Amino acid sequence: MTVLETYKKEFKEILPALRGGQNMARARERGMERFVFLGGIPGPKAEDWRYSDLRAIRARHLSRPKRPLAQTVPRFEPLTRWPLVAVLNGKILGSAPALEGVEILGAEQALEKIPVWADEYFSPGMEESPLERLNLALSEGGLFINIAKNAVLEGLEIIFLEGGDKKNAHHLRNFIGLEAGATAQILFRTISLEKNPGWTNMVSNFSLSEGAHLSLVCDFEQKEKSFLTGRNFVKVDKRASFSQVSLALGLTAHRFETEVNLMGKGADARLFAALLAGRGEAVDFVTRIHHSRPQAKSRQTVRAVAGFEGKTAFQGRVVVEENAQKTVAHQNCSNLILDPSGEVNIKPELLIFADDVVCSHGATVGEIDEVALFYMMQRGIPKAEAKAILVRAFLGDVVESLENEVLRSYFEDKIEAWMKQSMDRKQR
Amino acid sequence: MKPILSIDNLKVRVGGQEILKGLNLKIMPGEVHAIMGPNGSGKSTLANALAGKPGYEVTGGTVLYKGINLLDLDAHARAGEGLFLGFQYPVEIPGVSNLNFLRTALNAQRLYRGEEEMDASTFLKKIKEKAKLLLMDFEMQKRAVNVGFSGGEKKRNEMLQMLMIEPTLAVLDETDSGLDIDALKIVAEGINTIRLPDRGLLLITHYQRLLNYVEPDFVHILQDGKIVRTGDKELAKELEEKGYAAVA
Ligand SMILES: Nc1ncnc2c1ncn2[C@@H]1O[C@H](COP(=O)(O)OP(=O)(O)OP(=O)(O)O)[C@@H](O)[C@H]1O
Ligand SMILES: [Mg+2]
Repeated sequence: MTVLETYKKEFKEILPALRGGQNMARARERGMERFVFLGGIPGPKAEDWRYSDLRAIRARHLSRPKRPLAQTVPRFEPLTRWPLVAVLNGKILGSAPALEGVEILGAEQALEKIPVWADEYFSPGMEESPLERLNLALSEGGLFINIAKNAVLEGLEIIFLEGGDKKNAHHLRNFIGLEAGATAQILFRTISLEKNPGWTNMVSNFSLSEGAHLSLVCDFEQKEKSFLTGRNFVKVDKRASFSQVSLALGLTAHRFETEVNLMGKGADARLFAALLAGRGEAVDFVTRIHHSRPQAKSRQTVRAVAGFEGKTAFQGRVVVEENAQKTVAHQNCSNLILDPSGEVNIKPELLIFADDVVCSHGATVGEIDEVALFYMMQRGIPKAEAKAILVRAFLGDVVESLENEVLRSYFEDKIEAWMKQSMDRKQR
Repeated sequence: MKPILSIDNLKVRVGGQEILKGLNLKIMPGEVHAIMGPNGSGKSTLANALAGKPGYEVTGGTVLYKGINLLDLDAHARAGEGLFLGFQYPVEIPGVSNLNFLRTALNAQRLYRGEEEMDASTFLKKIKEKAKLLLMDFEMQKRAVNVGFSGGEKKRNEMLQMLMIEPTLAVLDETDSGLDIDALKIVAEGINTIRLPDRGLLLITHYQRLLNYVEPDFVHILQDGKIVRTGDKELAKELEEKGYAAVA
């Protein structure tokens, strides 16, 4: 039996045990069918996947469903003073906070209660992906959030906790909708158990109706040797705006896709990403920005740092469809290599089918500025600290896009700690 | 009394070439020395070698600073020991504010010496005071280090850093170049505030004008990697009139 046949067989066996009603079961079968059709977990030869090293996931059959999950809760601490939702293996831990104009439900509950949202929840996004389809097939649930018309959500912290047995896969699936004119600020965090070489694969679909504003901050953290992949698919309607700031550091084989469909006139998307990879770490940030209607704007700011034996990649595709006139799309990716053994990859793609547009992309690769380093040392700053300051400055365009001071200093501290660790590792 | 700096037969290679070819210099506490010399004679090489810039290979001789072997120390440790280099070409550091940079530097030096950190309010008070002394706009300190600063502003910024750091030995590499006439006077006054009995100053300059305001005890002429003549401030005047060819 081939690997894919094994998948199919095992999936059939566990399907009855998976959560959700008829709707969900049908969606799961469709998901598995497409996953198999697309060839399963992509290997390094697939063009869009060459920088995502998923071999370990394939080899250890991490994607195979295993039941039941242990309910060990990893230790976690809230970062902000915002209302908090903790999700353990796809289920809300305790009860969700009651907020005016905001509905927070477990995904399965939501699918029964508000079935019209099912299409959004099951949506494959703009470009079908085997990991997303597998997620649908094996999803353990996740969150459903709806923010009512003109409602304002000042801040919401969501922590996705992975508490499970070794070598397990965690497929989480969320839907977050903002009705017309709604405004929200949301922090996404993932936290895994210590010493748990598992795999978390999270898919979140967002829908921003006319004039809605969402500011999303993603903080991905995994313990050593666990894997994290994910996709945010965001639909942005007329005059709505989406901003995303993401920090990825200390991650083994991390792939994070952000797909944005600017489907309304005057829609706006801004993505900021900081990618850091040192020894045994690899980060692949993939963006797909589709300008489907006129007068939309997008801006991508990516800063990648490759330390000793670290590997980063940014694959950014911008598609401007034929009728998306007066599009403004900018993409900028700067890379910093801290050690000759570090590797950065950049793959920008602009596919422009409209003629009246302003599009730009720029990429730079550099090393630590030795002249600045000496200047700082001459003023008394030890080399390692001076380097850390230069790295922080390099990431400034991303970190400073965070308006919230608590989050900003948290990101800065994390970067500093990573720098320390990555230098220690080199010395070892 | 121990000299602050004692250089004996120093030889330095840069880019595969010997630039300093046996240089001797002794600075006692309270003394101000000036080094003059034609372009390319090795003045900045001396400053950089003293500060420990990578790529400056010492192939011979010794440098004792307050009795310790300076060449054994990392660049940041030399600074921690009280050595300050005013750069001929101050460096721009995008994304790092002057305030942050200077406070980090100051506290790193204090940590090195086992002293307590300077708290934020004391620091702010002090830097505002020093900026005023140098007639600098304090607001500029909020901007990135030297980014977008004019040539003269960069030089003044070096002096602000020096006044904050209060070094034991300051080596100022052409701090006067690029300053307008008024600024030169102001900077000179600033330099004079750190001219103290237990400190030393080494001024590298092409012009006698600075030396009118900061009067040196000794003037040295550096040529082809060696000090070829030493005198008092009159030597600088003579040089200004007659040029190197006639004097050295
Ligand atoms: N990295 C390098 N590689 C090769 N030669 C170098 C290097 N750095 C300096 N030199 C040479 O060393 C010599 C001395 O340079 P230095 O900068 O010390 O001169 P200077 O006396 O400070 O001159 P100026 O008055 O123009 O500032 C010059 O001939 C210069 O070209
Ligand atoms: Mg010079």
